[in-house]
Amino acid sequence: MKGTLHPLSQFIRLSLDYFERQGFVVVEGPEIETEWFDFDALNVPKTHPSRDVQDTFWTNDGRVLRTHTTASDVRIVLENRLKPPFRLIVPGRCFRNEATDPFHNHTFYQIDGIAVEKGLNMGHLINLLKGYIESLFGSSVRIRVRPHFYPFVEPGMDMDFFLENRGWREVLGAGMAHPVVLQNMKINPNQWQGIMWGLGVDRLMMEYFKIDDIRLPYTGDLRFIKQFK
Amino acid sequence: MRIVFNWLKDYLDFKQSPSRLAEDLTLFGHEVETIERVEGEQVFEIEITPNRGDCLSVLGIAREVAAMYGLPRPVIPRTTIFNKPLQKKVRVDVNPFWICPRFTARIIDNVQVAESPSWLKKRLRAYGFRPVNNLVDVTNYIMVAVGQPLHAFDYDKIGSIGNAKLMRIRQSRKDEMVVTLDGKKRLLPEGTIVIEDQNRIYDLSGIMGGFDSAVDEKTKTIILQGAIFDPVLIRKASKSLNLTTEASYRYERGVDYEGTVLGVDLATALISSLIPQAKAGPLLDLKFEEPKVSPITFSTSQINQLLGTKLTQKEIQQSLKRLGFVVKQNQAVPPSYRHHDIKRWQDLAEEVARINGYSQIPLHQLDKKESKKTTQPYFLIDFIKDQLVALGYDEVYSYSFVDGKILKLLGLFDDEIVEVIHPLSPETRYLRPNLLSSILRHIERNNWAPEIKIFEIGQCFTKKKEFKQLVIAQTQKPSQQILRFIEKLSQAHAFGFVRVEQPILDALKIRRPVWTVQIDFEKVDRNLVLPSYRPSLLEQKVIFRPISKYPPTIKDLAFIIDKDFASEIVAQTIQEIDSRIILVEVFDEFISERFGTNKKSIAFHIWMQDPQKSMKEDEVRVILESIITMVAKKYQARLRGELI
Repeated sequence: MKGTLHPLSQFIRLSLDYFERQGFVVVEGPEIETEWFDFDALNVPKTHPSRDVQDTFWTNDGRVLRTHTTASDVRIVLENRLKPPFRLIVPGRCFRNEATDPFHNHTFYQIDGIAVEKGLNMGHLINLLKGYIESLFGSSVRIRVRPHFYPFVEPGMDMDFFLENRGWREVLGAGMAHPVVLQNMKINPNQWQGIMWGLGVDRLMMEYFKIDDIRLPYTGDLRFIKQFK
Repeated sequence: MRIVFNWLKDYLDFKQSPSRLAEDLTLFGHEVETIERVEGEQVFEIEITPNRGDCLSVLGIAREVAAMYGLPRPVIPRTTIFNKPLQKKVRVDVNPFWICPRFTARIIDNVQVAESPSWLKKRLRAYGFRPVNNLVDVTNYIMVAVGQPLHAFDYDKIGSIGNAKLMRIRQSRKDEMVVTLDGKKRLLPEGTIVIEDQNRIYDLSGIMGGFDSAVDEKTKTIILQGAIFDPVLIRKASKSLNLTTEASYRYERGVDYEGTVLGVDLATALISSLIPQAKAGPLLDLKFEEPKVSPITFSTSQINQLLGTKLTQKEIQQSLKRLGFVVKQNQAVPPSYRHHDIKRWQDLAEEVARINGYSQIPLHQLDKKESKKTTQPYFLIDFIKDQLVALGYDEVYSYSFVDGKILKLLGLFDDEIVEVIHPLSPETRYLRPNLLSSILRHIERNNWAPEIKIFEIGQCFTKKKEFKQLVIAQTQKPSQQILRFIEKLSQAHAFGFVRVEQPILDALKIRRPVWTVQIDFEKVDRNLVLPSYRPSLLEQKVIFRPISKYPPTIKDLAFIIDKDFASEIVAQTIQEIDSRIILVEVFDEFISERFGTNKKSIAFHIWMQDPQKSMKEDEVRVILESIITMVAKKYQARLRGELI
């Protein structure tokens, strides 16, 4: 008899499938990251309060458990000596040193994406991400975008979608790649434009399957897993 | 940041209701998280992003609301201050200048400390401050009003130099201490901004006042200070002392260089109105270092290219002007309160997009591009997962953390283990060096399951490296199929299942044998994945059924049934019989002549649960009987054997 693929794996597959069909290539990065890749390379200096937004796990050898998959963006470009144009998508596990409850967990998955090409703009970014949400929840889903600050993008935005009885829910953060980030990738920001986003998989998956506790997927409870045949 | 709706209306005349305003502000980049009623006032909780220190005040939000609705600038009513020369004087030394680029202050004589009037206390409470006394309350009130942190020193508690009180502003040296307002003696990290006289440090600048210079009931004269301090130094000290205050929070995010006089004047006026006999001295305003402001050059086409819009130069200029920028042709100077976050033309683009509405950005299609081939290395993971699922294995996820006990039990605890410093919970202290520890926990947690075949693929960690591993664990002897598959994963290495040793199982309270195998991904043959392989996708969306916190009861039923009925259909029928049936698993299915022509046997594990309690035997029996009746009726099937 067939076994069961974990719902997180299933949901990540659905997501990657959408972006792959848009020409994105899946790449992974390490879960333990250097401080530079997780923060500094992304225009998040130690001296600025934007660094405090995330509660970070530090290891005893001075590294961090990556707080977002964005940490892998600069690394992947530098290590593979990538030159634009490129489209990358980076799924993976991230960590925040925080207390857990049914809606918060210290471990979670993100899918980050970055495309660097000539002539990319906010309209491309919004359209791409809107298409993603619609691919999961149907084209009747209501979506909105609003300005938001992330140090590694400018302009920056959040995307929300509307849920019956629960109102607007944030789905992802995104924006045009910040010139400092492009420079850190050894890309000339005057010649190339980048679109970037990061989306939290766990909460979106909870909505998709109507799961009531964000921690359940990590318990190994077969009553949970076997439901997703 | 909390904003009292009526306080905002004091500074700006607008028509929108609180709920309308909340939605508009959210779409303008300041997410209103909640609207609460406090002290009879509507209070917004707004998420101010760390780049927008200028919005940490009622005035700051009023400026944004005015720009958003295209209204005239907000105005704070100001009364004229009749200041008279005083005998009392203060001498301010700053070294080096950059730590305190501007120092604005006023001596106010003849004050009388008392309780604040109720309107003031009400507003402070609505914001979240505990009222203290009229002087402290005024400094807090004006800080929230305009964003300028203020501090009142007791003039008489400060030491003199000549005929003036000495305020020497400098960076602390090693091992220096200060006693702060809250009575705590604090060892200062080197480089912290402090104020001292000839004898002692009496102020932890920009963070918390000093105990030795604090206002009390006997205070007669104050020095009212509204200064600018270096954000990075404030941040360092605040972090190192683990002390965040309303003042330090604002200084870290950048306070308006041009806002000090407004803050000090408004506070002086308010004190004068609360204490009619108070005498305000002349304004002291020292600019030690002026910020360098240079215009930002932009081009209409650059901004349109980044946003994907077709705005005219005039529209761009108008948008920026609404936000208080001074615009000439293609150059823009941000208002002084935005110097901290507006630095390049991309920042201007965001402002333009905000004013015109993100929802107005036209959508664009990415160019078509197919590049699936390069994803192939990642597909190896999917490929292995799909193969294992086909062989009947369930995939589990566990945390990357592992507890020390199980590491010791498995003999894995050594110097190579990566450790987290200051974990919030002890369970997140060590990082797993392999996947065995996690998967054994999962076996234990599913003790009730009839048989377990699970796997996980995940990252493992030692100090030297991070690597991907596959682990499989099962409670039955591995089949030939899985052994063959494992062998195929790598030609060069012989990977065999091993039985977990009994003492380990005993320690984990696992009461059945467990076979397990671990394979490092670096050893896996990457050519296993055929170029044509595509990961299988979920065919039908599953809606999750909540699981009970009580253990399930699992019973087996086997039916003899016409071979044309698909087992999944029968399982579905059973599932729908009672809401307490959470899973129906087919675990055996075969055709045999001895059941009659065209008959087969299907065996099911029936998983049952009750959300409120453990299930009783007679309840289970009733459910099983209704399953037997229903399946018999619907599929002309009969039970194999008897219900026990």
